[in-house]
Amino acid sequence: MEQQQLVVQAAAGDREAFASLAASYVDRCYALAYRILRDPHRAQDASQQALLGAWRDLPTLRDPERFDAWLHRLVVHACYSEARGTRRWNNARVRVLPLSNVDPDPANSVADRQALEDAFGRLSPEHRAVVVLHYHLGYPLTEIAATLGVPVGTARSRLHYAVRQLRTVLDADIVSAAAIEERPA
Amino acid sequence: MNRSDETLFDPRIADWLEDDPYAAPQQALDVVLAALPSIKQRRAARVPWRFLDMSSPLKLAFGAMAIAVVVGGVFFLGPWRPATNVAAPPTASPLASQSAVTATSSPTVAPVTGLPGTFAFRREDGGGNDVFLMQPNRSGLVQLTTDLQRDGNPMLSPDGARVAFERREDRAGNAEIWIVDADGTHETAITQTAEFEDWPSWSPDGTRVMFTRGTIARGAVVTMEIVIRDVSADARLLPASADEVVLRRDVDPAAPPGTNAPGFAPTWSPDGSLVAFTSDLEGENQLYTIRIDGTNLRKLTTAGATGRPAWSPDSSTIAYQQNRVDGCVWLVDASGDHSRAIAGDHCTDGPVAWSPDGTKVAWAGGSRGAPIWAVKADGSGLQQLTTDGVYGDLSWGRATAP
Repeated sequence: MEQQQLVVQAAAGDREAFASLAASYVDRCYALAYRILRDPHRAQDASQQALLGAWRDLPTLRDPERFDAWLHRLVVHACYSEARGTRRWNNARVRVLPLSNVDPDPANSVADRQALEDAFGRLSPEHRAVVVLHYHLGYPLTEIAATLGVPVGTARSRLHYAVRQLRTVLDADIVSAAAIEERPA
Repeated sequence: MNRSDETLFDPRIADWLEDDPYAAPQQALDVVLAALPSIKQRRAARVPWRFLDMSSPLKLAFGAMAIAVVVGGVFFLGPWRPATNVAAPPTASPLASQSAVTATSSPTVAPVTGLPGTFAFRREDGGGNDVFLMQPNRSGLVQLTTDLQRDGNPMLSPDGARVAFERREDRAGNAEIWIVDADGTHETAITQTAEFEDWPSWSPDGTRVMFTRGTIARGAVVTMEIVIRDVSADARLLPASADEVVLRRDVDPAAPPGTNAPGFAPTWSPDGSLVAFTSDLEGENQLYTIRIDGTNLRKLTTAGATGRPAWSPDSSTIAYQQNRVDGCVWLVDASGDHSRAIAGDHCTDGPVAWSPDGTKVAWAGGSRGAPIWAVKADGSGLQQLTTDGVYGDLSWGRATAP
């Protein structure tokens, strides 16, 4: 059955139709939530909340063709809610890697990934969301703005800020790696 | 990939993001499908077809007229009610909720009798996270809230008549403090602000509630506070500016990671003089106390502390969780001396709760549900009180329906 037909039937209260939709979207919801929250349990909670919210509010969706973007919006907002609830404990998950793990290749190094993880964890959920929508889903700024319900300028400034923060730590790592390489024996 | 601004694209970030998992755990879908029958769908708003064809200014004008008619009708015809009151949840009756205990309790852990007081906790009920009361022997389950928001961190008032809790809005990611009677009636918000408020805790005389407040600007937390709100019988809904601030931290963007936006999880001491709280004020979460007037901030731990701490009824000792090789649930004197472990396993990131008679400490889950565990304050007699791991944000008091 076509997706749009499933959306229409689910909006009319057909639980089996929604179950089919949920089965085909749960991985996408989880992947999006995980990338924003960086925590498998929270990502599961957020994706469940988004899908349950979708079932509850589906009758209010006027255009079935917009189901994807609408559901992504629910996931992002569920992530906001999850992130607000856990913000204070995020720091406990930061891992410190020993210096011996530093890979001189800045594009693939463990240190790069840890630096990105740390820098990403310091961004607000709103900034993380635009990064994930842009990089993971490939959304252009206009689509990000429509999904998040913010002006395009806001989406652009959030993305600029977030990417600048992430690049700062990556570039700092390159400088550090170069300094280690050049250090006299 | 259709990216409108290539200067915003960095392949290192893209590679890092795409390394993450794509498949959801099977139980994620199972939970959703199991919860569907309990969730009622919203009815779609009916919009006249001519309205859809109108230009935006006309839509605006008609919309404004419609709002004026509705507001006028409510003002002139409807009985005035405070905007923050909502109807009592339909399943607030202890008898009606009793069946849920039977359905969710496993027979493999027998009910433990003889424990005093009442547990307040958060539990996922399919449509969201709601707050409940239950006796330690698993009888007398009362569902206090039934909405689709994430309700949590409930705490019984000292007289047992009311429960303060936090409610997180799904859409806005905001949180407010609410109070509900211990029979599930008279649910009322005491904060309605642009900030997020959480972790409510009662004063010993039940006339004030302490909680944390985070101010957000441009998508980031800029201040965190521990504040006190008057909730005495003649108190009205007050703006945030009327709250008494115990402790405030402004975000320092230049500070090292983890120190620029400290979180607080406070608990008021039973003698009324101190607040105990865990916080990442200096990077790692530690246990602190501070006087109610905001003076004499003291750090009581150096090896970490997580979740919300609990005071012994005589205010002499504080319990907290910290998962280490030498212990898991800990007690420390209010002076900061004599730190000792009373349990070595089954830790969570949730709050701990002290029994009203001072003999036991209990805990359940925090960010995730977990079974309820209890241990004597001397570290003996560890007991699992429930098998099903659906309990979170546990507190322990005495409930007396008003």
